[in-house]
Parts: sequence; structure tokens; C-alpha cells
Amino acid sequence: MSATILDVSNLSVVFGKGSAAVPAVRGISFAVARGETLGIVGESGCGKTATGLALLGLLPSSGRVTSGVARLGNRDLLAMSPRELRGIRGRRLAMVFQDPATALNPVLSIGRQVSEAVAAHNSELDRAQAKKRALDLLEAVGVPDPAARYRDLPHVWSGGMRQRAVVAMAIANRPRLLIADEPTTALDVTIQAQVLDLLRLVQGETGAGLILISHDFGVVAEMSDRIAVMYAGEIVETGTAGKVMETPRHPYTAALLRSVPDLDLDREQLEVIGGQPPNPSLLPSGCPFRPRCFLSGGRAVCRETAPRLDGEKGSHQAACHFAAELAIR
Amino acid sequence: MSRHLLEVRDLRVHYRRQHRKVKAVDGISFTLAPGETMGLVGESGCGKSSTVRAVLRLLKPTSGTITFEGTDLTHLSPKQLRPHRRQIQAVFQDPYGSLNPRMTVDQIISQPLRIHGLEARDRVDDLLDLVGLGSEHARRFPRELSGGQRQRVGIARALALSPRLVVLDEPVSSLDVSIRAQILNLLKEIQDRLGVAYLLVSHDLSVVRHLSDHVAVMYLGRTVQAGTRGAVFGRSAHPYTRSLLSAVPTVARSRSERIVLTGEVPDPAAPPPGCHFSPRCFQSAEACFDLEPALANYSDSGRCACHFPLPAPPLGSAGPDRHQRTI
Repeated sequence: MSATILDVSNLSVVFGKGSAAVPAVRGISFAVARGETLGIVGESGCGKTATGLALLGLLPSSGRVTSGVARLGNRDLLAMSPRELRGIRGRRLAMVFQDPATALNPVLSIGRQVSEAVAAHNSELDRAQAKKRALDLLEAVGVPDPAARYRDLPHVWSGGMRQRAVVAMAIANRPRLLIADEPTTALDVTIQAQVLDLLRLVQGETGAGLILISHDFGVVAEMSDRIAVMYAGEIVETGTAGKVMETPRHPYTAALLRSVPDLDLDREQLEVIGGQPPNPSLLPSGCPFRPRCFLSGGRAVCRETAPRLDGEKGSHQAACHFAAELAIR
Repeated sequence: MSRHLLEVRDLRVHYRRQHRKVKAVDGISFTLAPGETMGLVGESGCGKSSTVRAVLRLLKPTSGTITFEGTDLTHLSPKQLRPHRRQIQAVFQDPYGSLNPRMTVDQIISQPLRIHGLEARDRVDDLLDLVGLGSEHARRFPRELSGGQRQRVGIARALALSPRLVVLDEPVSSLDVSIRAQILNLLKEIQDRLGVAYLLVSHDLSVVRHLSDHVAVMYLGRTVQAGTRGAVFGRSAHPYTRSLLSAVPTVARSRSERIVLTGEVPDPAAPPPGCHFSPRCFQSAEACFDLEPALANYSDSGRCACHFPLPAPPLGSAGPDRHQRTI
């Protein structure tokens, strides 16, 4: 059995207050083991980003965690004070954001920002030592000739290079868990391939667990050991990457996989998931995917009962009353 | 009168940036027949957006000709251009930024008709119907619509004047996956029904493959490979095309088949001599660094600008084995 780094159970996040409150994440549970990559995939508004932010204690002021436990080691991230969290963030737990242009401070040199990430959790290092570490880190993430570029401002660097700097900051203190939210969405495909390779490399070297959040099933498929598919604030399917992609057991996963135009296949028409993701404050009764589902066929149980994740835990689970029918198709 | 709807010949768009000349588009040529789709694909800085902006005459090309329905648009005055603009419309990437938030859907769609002095009354309902929206949407504001619905409004507006050519600039890049498929299918249906030609720009190879009859792969302002969809996707003869194809993460393919290019797209103000792709190429030889390769046929329907065009890959493989590529 692999060592669990992060164990999240029953996490719920709500935005807004009172009658305007919108449930963004609704009681999700998952775990990440050492050296493992968990891919969280879903469309806008499914709660994948709110999940990452909640774990980091970085939800915007309108959002709050309403239930759940997230154990990193033997401590609950969700119960920590902001001060305690600051001690952990960047050290045990680090984040790679989507857009390297906004994740970096535009008026500070890249070298200074990386060395700050080092110094923040290593007060015993003096300036020169922190700089030395920062240079090593930039070298490790593949920035050519970091010493000559140490004083560059972020705008001088390309998007791919900036994302490398962001990764360098994230791994500065060899965190046990990395959370990467759409780390390559802002990048060109050939640069995306480089950054994905880099994430794999640093993960291999540090043994960190990685939560990779993306809307792109291709990216998630390529990187993940296990996958969690989110819809309307819930995990509707989770399992090993092979099982989820080859034999999806939730109709949403199946439809999502078929609606992506494929480079290796000519199709006249793409399969379409009709309608759009539901408004999280006006969820349909029963199964939230029911109105768009090709499998439900208007059956009463889909309308009346919200399905729960069912199946073999750790191997393959789906929240669908008729998962078995999908397996036969 | 040629049989082409659009013919772009040796198009060049040069900018000045801090006293340096940037050749954003450096000699691009292609033709587009009525009712067909031409897809321009490439990464940031390859010149695809400058090319379509020149076709839309949102910028004036440095040299070259853009012939639309037999008329060279490059030297027309704004007034002379006006009747032609009716025939060339555009759908933009961001359905949030490209619709005026203070106008209702009805006003947005009828605006091109009013500008050109045409009757708008019944047309808006027909257009809404064409793009799969109901007449109840006419009174709404963009903020009341989802991203997919907004993009449908953008498409309806582009079709309002019954153009013969619609420029699609990253039409689905900002949409969710499930909505993307809806819009791609819609664009295909509309083309089948109306016979409109599309000039598509995208960084997404799968989108280009899905919609295009002809494809041009661009790199640093030049075409590196062009041809029919079958010719380009069937045999990625140019190493850049091949690495671009293999870099796309897909559900079906394993990562071991990937070619990861080293380095980045060079500064377009100081492109490398010879073949622009040579510093990143996995098979470049001495000639590549001195001599610029010309576009030459590698098959009946495909052309490629490479001194050493690659053979067709064996079936079921995306590219050469990773360990063989360090030549």
C-alpha cells in the first residue's frame, strides 16, 4: 500500500451568503499518495478550481469551506489558522497557477522572486545562499544560463520560461504535495509538452504527490495515475486512469471523451452533450447530470435520488444508477 | 475571373518594433474555393492572426495581393472596400469581448444589416433559428447568455449579411469541451446549408482537422506545410508538423510516442538563417542552417518546405521513436 500524503473527505465549499449562497463543491473525497498524480478534470464551474483553492486556504473572501477534513500528514489543512497555513504553504504544499504572466510580480526580478520563495521558509539562509539555491532551482527547471537572466523582469521572458520559473518557486522547498491548476492552458502545444515533461521530472525527483487540475482530458489522461471527473461540484467518477478512460462508468465521462475532436480519427459529426452544465444554485433534483444524460431515458430513479459513488474504492467508482448499463454498451 | 473565392499571393506583413523589423507574415500564399474551409494552424507568433487580419483589411499588408472574387483588396480605399466587406465577415475568439454588453442580441445581430441599409425585421429570427437559438433570446443582453450561446450570437451576426467568406479566429478556444463540440457541429451544418467558405485560424490541430478541407501549417511567418487535410494529416512531412501533432496530449496515444522539441519559437525580429525551424529540428543537417527550403510537392496534394521531408509514419504511430530522434 502506498503512503497517502493527502486525504480529503467530505469537502464542501460555498460561495456567497444566505439565500444567494452557491454550493461550488459538494462533499467530495479523494486521496493522493506519495509520487502519485491525481488528475481532476471537468468543465468551468464544476468546482475543480475551488477544490484546489480550498486546500491551499486561498479561497476568495466570498467563499468558505462548510464541511470536510483534509489531512496532510497528521494535520487538517482546513482547520488551520491563516498563520499556520502560511507556515505550510510553499513548504509542504505548493501551487502552480494557470497563467505565469499574472502569477509573477511584474516589477520584481524573477531571480528575486524565486529566492524569496526559498528564503520565506529558510530563515537560516542569508541572501547569497538563497540566491545560490534560486540559481540551482532555475537551472533544474531548464532555464538556460540562469545567472545571466537572474535579474530579468518577468515580461522579458516567454510564457514557457515564466512557467518554468513558477515551477521552480513551487518546488523550492521540496513540498510533499503540488497542486497545479491548468498549468499549461496558457501555453502553446510544443511548450505545453515541455512543461508537462518538467512537472513529471520534478515529481520524480522530489517524490511529491501532484494534483493536476484541467479541463483538457488529453492532458489529464497523459499525466495521471488516477483521475477524478467532476460535475456540478461532485466527483461523478474516479479510478485508475486506464479504467476511467477505457471503460468509463459514468455517462458524463463517456460523453466527454467522445465529444473531443480526435487527431487520429475522422468524424463528420462530433458527439454532443446537449444543453450546458447546470447553474450550481439551481441544481436539478436527483442526479445533477440527468437533464443532459443519454442513459437516463427519463427514468424515475434518476429524478428522485442523487446517485452516490459506487464501486470498488481505489480502483473504479462512479455515481450513476445505471453504471452497469454503460459497461455493456 | 478565377474559380477561387479568395486568393492570397505572397502576402507580407512587417511591423516595426523598437527600430527592428518584425516579419510577422513573410510570403504566405493560398487559395480558397467557394464553400470550402482553409485552416491556418500554428503557435503564437507564427503569423496566422496577422494573415487573417490582412484578409479582413484590419491591417494593410506590406506587400502581396489579396484577391477576393476577382478584385484585389490590398489597395482599395475604405470606401471602395465597403461593398466587399459585406462578403467577408468574422467570428472572434472571445464571445465575452466581441459582443457589446449594452446591446441586446437583436441589436447585435441586426447592426450589420442596419449599417448596410438592409431590412432587419424578419432576418433576426431566421438567423437565431439558424444558429439554434430561440426568438426569445432576441431581447436578452449578452450577460444573460452562456459562453456557447454568446458564440452562437457571434456566428449569427457574422452570417447576417449572407457573406461568402467567414473568418473564424479561434472560434471555440474559449469554450468548454462539451460546448465546443456543439459549436463545431453547428459551423459544419451552416456550411453545408449555406455554402459559405471559412478561413479558420486555430492553434488547436484537432479543431483544424475537424473543420478544414485544406490546411496550412505556419511557423515564424512562413508556410512550412500545406495541402489537403488528408495530405497534411496523413503524412506530416515537415518535422514541425510532426512534432506539433505529436505534442498534442490525447486520450488515445501514449506519451512515449511524443517528440518534445527543445527550445522555443525564436524572436521573429531575428529569425535564424536558412530554415527557420532548423535550431529546434530533430533532423537538421548542415544545409538547413544556410539554405531556406522552398515549398515543394511531396505528394499530389501536399507541399512541404523541408530539405528532408519525412516519410509517412507507419500506421498507428505518431512519429519516430523517441530514442531514434537524437540525430
